[in-house]
This record gives sequence, structure tokens and C-alpha cells, in this order.
Amino acid sequence: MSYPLEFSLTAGHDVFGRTLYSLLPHAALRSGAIATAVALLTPVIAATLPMFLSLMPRRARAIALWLQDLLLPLPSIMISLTLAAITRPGYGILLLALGLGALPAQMRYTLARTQEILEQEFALQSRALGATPWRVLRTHLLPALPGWMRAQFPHLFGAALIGEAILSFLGVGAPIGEDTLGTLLLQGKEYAWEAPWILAGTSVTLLALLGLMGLVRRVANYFFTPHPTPSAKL
Amino acid sequence: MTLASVARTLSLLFALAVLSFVWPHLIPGDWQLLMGEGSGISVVNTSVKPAITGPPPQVSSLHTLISGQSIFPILAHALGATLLWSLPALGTAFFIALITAALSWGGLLVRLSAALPLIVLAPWIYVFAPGWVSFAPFALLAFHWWGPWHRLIAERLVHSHHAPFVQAAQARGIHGWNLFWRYRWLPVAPACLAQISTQAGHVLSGSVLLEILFRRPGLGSLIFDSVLRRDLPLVQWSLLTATFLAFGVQRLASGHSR
Repeated sequence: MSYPLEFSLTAGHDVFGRTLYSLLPHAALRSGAIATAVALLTPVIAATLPMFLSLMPRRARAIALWLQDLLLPLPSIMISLTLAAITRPGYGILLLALGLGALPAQMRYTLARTQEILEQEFALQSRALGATPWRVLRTHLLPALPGWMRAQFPHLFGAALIGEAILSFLGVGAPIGEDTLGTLLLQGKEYAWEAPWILAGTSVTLLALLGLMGLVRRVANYFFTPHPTPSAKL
Repeated sequence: MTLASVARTLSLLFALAVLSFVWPHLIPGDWQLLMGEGSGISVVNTSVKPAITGPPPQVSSLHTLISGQSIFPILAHALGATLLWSLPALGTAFFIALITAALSWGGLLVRLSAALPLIVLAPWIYVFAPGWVSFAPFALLAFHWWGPWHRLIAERLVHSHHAPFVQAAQARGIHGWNLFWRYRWLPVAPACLAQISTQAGHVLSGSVLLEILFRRPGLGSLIFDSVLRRDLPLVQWSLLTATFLAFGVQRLASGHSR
């Protein structure tokens, strides 16, 4: 006796009988939301401290560099594992671990860019004309923040997405029972011979999200990069 | 290395040590309570339990909570095991990257290596190549870092190709291996190594993932197992060791690049 093939089952189902057509977008959305939160919050936090410190005396700047050096070698997976040892897996811990992993490099980037802007002639002139540090921050540094965030977002999103998948795969990321790409990869690994479509579907979704972000970066670069107008060419 | 940079490195090491030992104690409750069933921790490995008979385990920050053994031999063994397989893998990746960048080989494989995350590749190899399990972490780690390092070295070599001293050496009749090694690679090597050393934390994270997945003894498996057992002294020392390792590599390479 043959049964008609249902469309919802053509991509297979997971161990709980849920179809992958609904499960994968759901997990991708959740992982994407976590990665987006990290990619949006980290540059803001990373930019704020160097921006303020770059306007402060040399000694305070040295402390910032010292802090940066302190944070840079900390391996993010180990921080998350340690956090998992003293508390239960959850979104807060996941965001903290991913943020701590991305923050030092972002701080280094922001500090370098801040120094570049402050050494430009318009910033030097405004300081020479008596502008206060707050005014320099407001008029020259803060307007640059959206551009930095736009430039760093795809890279941070990709790193956070992979980080989330690794931590959830190890069982210390997303809360138990919540489906993300990492937990689906873990499920796919456990049932790879019985249901290879789980591992295949999740891998393809993860790679597609990363590829999509690369495409977004190219499109954003095209639209946000100033093109010379005909009059400027002349 | 100046006195100021030595002082800075020492102060950073001290701060790292203080940080890794102090912050777990900021969490309310003590280690014995954290071990108990009412701790609310959901990751539990029931296969590992403290011995019922025999002398009570020693409780101090230098002994494991479960067996009461001294932490340092365990850590030394784990660190040795990690370095034993990951250093040759990274060395192989670097060597192949140098050769392929010098000869401009790679193409699609470089793209694949740079684009495929370890978390996507590793489960497939683990499941579908069981005969390779002993060799797979080595090959995966080498493949994973080969692509990015190839791009990094190739980019530097392109810049050095147009440098005046390289063109002068070519005009003097120096070609082939001698030209590449002395005039193109050695001047850019410190900068390449310094840039690679900033990725020490990521490299370590990758080897941790592979150790856990392939159940290979090492620092990653040690920290993962101690997290499952909630053996906080071991977790602290493992984290400290890993951080010192990454920090040491980074400082060493940045010191050489100056």
C-alpha cells in the first residue's frame, strides 16, 4: 500500500517528528537574532570607551590599552564553558560570552579609527579653536559610529553565528529545549546515519546565512560607498 | 625588550591571574554548594561521582574537587597533549600556506578553507569518516587555518614583490629560492607572525572544539569535563593556563615583530 507523499515531509523531519521546513527557519531566526544582537551591541560598547578615553589624558589612554591587552587573549569558548560551570546555559550567558569574545578586537579597531580621526586636520583645528572634548566627541567622533557599525556588522554577525553554533553544539549555549542552529547540528550529529537530512539541512542553512551576510555586505558597500557625481568628475 | 614592556607584560600576567581566580568567587554560594543537587545547574554528568570510601578529598584551590588530586600534573599532561597534536597541525598549515602563497596555488580550496567553519566540517568528518578519528583533528585544524593564512601571506608577498629592494636584488641577478627567502619572505615574516599571533585565542578555541568532539585528551577535554563535574579549581586553572598560553604566544610574536 502506498501513501501520497506530503510536501512537508520532503525535507525530512527531526527526532521529535517536526518537519525541517518549519524547524530550520525557526532555528535560523533564533540564531540570527542572537547574532544580530551581538553584532549591534558590541560595536556600540566597544566604541564608547575608546572614544571617551581618546580625549582623555595620556595616562588614561595607557590604561585603556592595558585593558585591551588583557582582554585580547581570552579564548571565548573557554569563558563560556567556565560561565556554564557556575550558572545554567541561557541567552544572557550566551550573549555575554559572544560579546566578550568579540569586544577586544572591536575595541582595538575603534581606538585606531578614533586616533586616525583625531589626527586629521579638521579635528586638530577644532581643538585649536578651543572646542571642548565633549564637542569634538559629538561633532567628529559620534557621527562616524554608524559607519563603523555598518562596516563591522557582517563580520561580527558571521563570527557570532558561528560562535553561537559552537557553544550550543557543546551544550553550553542556548537554553535546553530551545532550537538554534547549534542544537540542531548536535541533533544532526547524533542521528547522522538515521537522519542525515538534519545535519545536511542545518549545515546548508548555516552556510547560506553566512553567504547571505557576505552578499548584504557587498550590496551595502555598493550603496553606501560615495560614487563620484558627474560634476565631481569634471 | 625594554624594561617598560617587561613591566607591562608582568602586570598583565598578574592581572590575568587575579581575574581568573577572583571572578568565580563573586558568584553567590560556595563550591561545595555548587556541587550539590540544589544548585540548579542543568549540565550534569552522572557518570562521574566522587568516591564513597577512602580518605576525604582535599578541598583547596590546588586540588581537584572530585578526586582531591593535585591539579598541576593533570594540567601539565593536558597541556602537553594539546600542544603535541595542535602545534604540528598549525605548523603544517603555516608551511603549506607559505608554499601555496609563494607559488600562487590554492584557488578553490583556499576559498573553501576560508569559508567553511570548523563547526560545519567537523561533525561530518566525525560521523562519516570514523576510521580517520585519530588523524581527523590534525587534518581539520590544519585545513581550517591554511586558507586564512594563505591569504594573509599572499597579500604580504604581493606587496613585497614590488618593493624597491626586491627589484634591485632581481637586477643584481638574484632569482628563485634565494630571492624569495631572503628578499621577499624574511622581511615580511615578523609582521605575518605577529598578525597570526593575535589569533592565538581563536586557534585555541578551534583546538578545544576538536578535542571535545573527537574525545581527544587535552586542555579542551579537561576544561569540558571539569565543567561537567563542576570542578571549579580545575576550571579556573585550565582557563588560566589557556589564557597564559594565548597571551604568551601573542606577546612573544609581537616582541619579535618590533
